[in-house]
Amino acid sequence: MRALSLMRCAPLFLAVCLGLSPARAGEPVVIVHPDSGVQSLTRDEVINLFMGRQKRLPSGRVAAPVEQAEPPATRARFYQLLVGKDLPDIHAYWARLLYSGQAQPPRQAASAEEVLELVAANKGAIGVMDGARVDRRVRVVLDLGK
Amino acid sequence: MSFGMKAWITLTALMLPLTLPLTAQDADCGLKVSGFGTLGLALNSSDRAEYVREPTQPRGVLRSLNPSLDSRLGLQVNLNLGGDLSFVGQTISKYRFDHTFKPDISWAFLSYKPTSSIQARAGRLGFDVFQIADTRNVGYSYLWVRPPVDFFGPLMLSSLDGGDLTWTTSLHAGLSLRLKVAAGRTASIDKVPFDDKGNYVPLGGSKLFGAVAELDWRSLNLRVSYARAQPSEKFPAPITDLQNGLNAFALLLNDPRLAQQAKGVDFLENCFRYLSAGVNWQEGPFRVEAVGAQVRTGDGPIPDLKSGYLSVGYREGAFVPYFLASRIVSDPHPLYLGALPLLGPQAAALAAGVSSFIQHQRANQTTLALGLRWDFHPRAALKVQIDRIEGRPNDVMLWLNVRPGWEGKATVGSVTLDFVF
Repeated sequence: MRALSLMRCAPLFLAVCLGLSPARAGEPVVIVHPDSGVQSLTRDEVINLFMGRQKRLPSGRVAAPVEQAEPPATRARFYQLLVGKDLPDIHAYWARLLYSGQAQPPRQAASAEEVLELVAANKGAIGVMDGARVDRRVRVVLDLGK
Repeated sequence: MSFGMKAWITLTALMLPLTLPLTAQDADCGLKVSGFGTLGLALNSSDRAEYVREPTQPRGVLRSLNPSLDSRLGLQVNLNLGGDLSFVGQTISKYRFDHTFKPDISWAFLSYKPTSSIQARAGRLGFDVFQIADTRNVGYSYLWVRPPVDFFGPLMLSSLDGGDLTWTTSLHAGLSLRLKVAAGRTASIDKVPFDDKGNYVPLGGSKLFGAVAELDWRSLNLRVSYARAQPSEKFPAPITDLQNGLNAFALLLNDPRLAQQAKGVDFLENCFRYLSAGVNWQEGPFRVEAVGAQVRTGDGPIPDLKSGYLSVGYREGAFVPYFLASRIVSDPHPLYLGALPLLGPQAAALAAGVSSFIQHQRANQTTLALGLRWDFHPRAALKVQIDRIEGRPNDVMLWLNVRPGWEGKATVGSVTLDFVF
């Protein structure tokens, strides 16, 4: 029995040894192009950009928001942390904005890699993706999981 | 079921499987086509008066399942014309004044957004005097099977040919203010059927002005709005006949007050003023919305209206059970008919006609509704709702083809499938 529970603890133990907190893996982060002129963003600025209220980055560039759509858990966690809303509420919110002609929802990217590629290729892009998959091509401007 | 309805359902059925998967739209491409729709069924407990969703519907729901009340389909085109300029076009197919589902162009406008705080739009626009008024056909965007009839029933104007200007500013962290003014003429697509012979009251061409102030603070939204509409199109014969009759008797009896009433029955002489205030709050699982409005008419016998609704929902995973209460009250203006009822059958018939016309402009009723929204798919929701309506049987503004024995009470059951694509 003791051996079994040690076995169960092993992945956690391993993760701690590697310096990874299990809670951190998969937490969404907000990223921009390294040359976007943006060093960091506040939560309110990110709310304005991803909820269709603001169309430009603080640097003045026209913003092109993009989200990692798969797996849906990343996006769900992002909106839960950002505005405390579930995905169905976010979808209904966008239906209202889109079909009243006010704004268009963020572009949906199929994977973390696609978000990375889109943001690395566009100085106005602002992306949301799994923090564990971020690399040097982009800059993290807000880490909501912190 | 008309041919139009059948074709429409087939079209929707064909589109659903193609469009429901979450499709990634290409942001680099300037053109984006999307849409929304509702398939609904409703049933009324009463066969004495027809329940309608909006006065533009020529027939309502009785004791048989009715698909026309809530079903509708919309298509929208967003065209990015570079940086600050974009075009939005929208067409909606729904049950309309002539018993068909012929699509109307609801919107076609150019939007110019030179800075993030200013937006100017020109063309055919949605008119959002009241909260959600410009998305009332997008069932997916709200909780209920349909916007509360007691509140939106009298608000017939949906589209505006003209322009609007919006200014948004951030006052403080998380606190933003939005001011908007709109001016133009009501679009000609709004037509209210008058009788079964195809006569309708045109609502297009009315001079319209509106202003909205909106305050957003985190999950709280406060909103105050004002609008003024000045009708400019002549009404169909049954109404003008009443006016001519009143004027003739005013001359005959040398009674200037009768002439005054004739003017009051004429919508051209009435300026309609709308005032509305609302609050919307979404925090955690709770979503609460409360809105009140007042419609003021001229000095004539057409009554003023007060209406409001309160909606409370609680999200539990994919389900949102909700409660909705709405109420409309008419403030009758005195109706003067002088000696008319005593002057023989012709004059008495005229008096009865005028009284009946005014009665059709009155509404006094309360609706309590319970419902459940189920978000079973990222692009679709299923809803069920039961409405209990109780009101004064003679004030029939919101009902159609009232038959003898109507007591002003009815229960309406509804199911809708709302989707976006």
